[in-house]
Amino acid sequence: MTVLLIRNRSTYFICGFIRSFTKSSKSKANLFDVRVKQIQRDNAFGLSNRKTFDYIRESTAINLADRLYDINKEFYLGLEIGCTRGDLLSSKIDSEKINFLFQSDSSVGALSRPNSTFPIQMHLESPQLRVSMFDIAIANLSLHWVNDLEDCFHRISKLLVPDAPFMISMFGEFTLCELSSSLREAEMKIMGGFSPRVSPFIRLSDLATLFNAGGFTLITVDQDYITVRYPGLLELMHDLGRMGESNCTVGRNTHLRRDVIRLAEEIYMKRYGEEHRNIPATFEIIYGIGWTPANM
Amino acid sequence: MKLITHNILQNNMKDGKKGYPLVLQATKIDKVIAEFNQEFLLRMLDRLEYHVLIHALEMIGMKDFLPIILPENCSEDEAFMKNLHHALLEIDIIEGELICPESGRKFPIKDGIPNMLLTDEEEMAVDSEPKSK
Repeated sequence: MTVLLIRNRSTYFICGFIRSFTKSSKSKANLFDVRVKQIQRDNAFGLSNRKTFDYIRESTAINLADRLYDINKEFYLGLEIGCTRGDLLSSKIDSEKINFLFQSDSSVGALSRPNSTFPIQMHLESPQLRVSMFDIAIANLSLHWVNDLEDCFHRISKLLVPDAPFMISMFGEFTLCELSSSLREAEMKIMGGFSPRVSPFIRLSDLATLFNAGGFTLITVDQDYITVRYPGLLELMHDLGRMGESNCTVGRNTHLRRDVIRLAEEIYMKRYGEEHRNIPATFEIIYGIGWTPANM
Repeated sequence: MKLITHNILQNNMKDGKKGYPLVLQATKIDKVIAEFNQEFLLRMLDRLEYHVLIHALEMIGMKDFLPIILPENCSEDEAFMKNLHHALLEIDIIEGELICPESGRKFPIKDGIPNMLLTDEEEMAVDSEPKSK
């Protein structure tokens, strides 16, 4: 079902809006409603059949694990930041590679598993841990709803010992591009305006900036694309909900009219539709790794 | 929640104060079996606040389970290593509370998972140290 596909970017319209990062910006206005996201994730991760909806995280987890094993080093204490589905990543890492892997998530549903190793329920942005403890930190598609990413990266660097990596996968700017543009156009036509439907994602270069701002060095970032095909718009949105990925952007219109959805689906199908009336949804995955300086 | 987790948990407070170690009150404790690995344990010893582990054992009624002072050449003391392993990895606090020694704030432990979530107010006020490197 998943296909790795390098797309020709000129076929896309500008998607959603890009998060802006300026070193000095410390806007106190939150982008995401944290409380709503908590409820959405609790609902999603409490589902007994959530395995079905985790194929994207599964795919990126495999990728991250591969990259981890490429590093010729053994790690004593590791921290998984936002483990979403308990052992999704940890099951791919044996104890010889990371001796003790602590798992954190704000949602109890993500942690309540028979195989979760050393679970801790806490906000991803406010780690309740001693500093300079960990030899590695990993975040698999878990930081895209964080309001203050610069601060988050900074805090993570504090948790690490010198010469320790922080590995991350995040959704990039072209994620759900088709959905975003179709909904926006439909809403413009019917409502005469639009509200944010798809969360703003980051650029490849932004990830490098974030690592830098957090005090990391030896930074490398790269991107990959996953295309998933759906029978229709509602199925796509349903899946996103089940992944815990429903929109929680502040200022969003929580009501999505049926006629808007219908028109959006028409636009989507017309512009991006494929054989058998399937619609493709693009997920751009940005991978990054940064290291804390060897002498801190 | 294993005692290895308790050893690394800290209440990072808004005024920069650090609540560590958290006072442990356990109402339900389970024992589990974990694979013994001497090498992993020895590495962990560097990061461990040993006195905090001793204190935690005391709080769950296991005073004197481990010596108060970390023995020299402990790697050669097989009995000690086995007990250390048991203390860190095989005692599971299922229900209880963690209490911040500075603020008195209580963090519940439920189904073996410590809940360190901060309220909105506590979150908003938490500011990290100056970012200059």
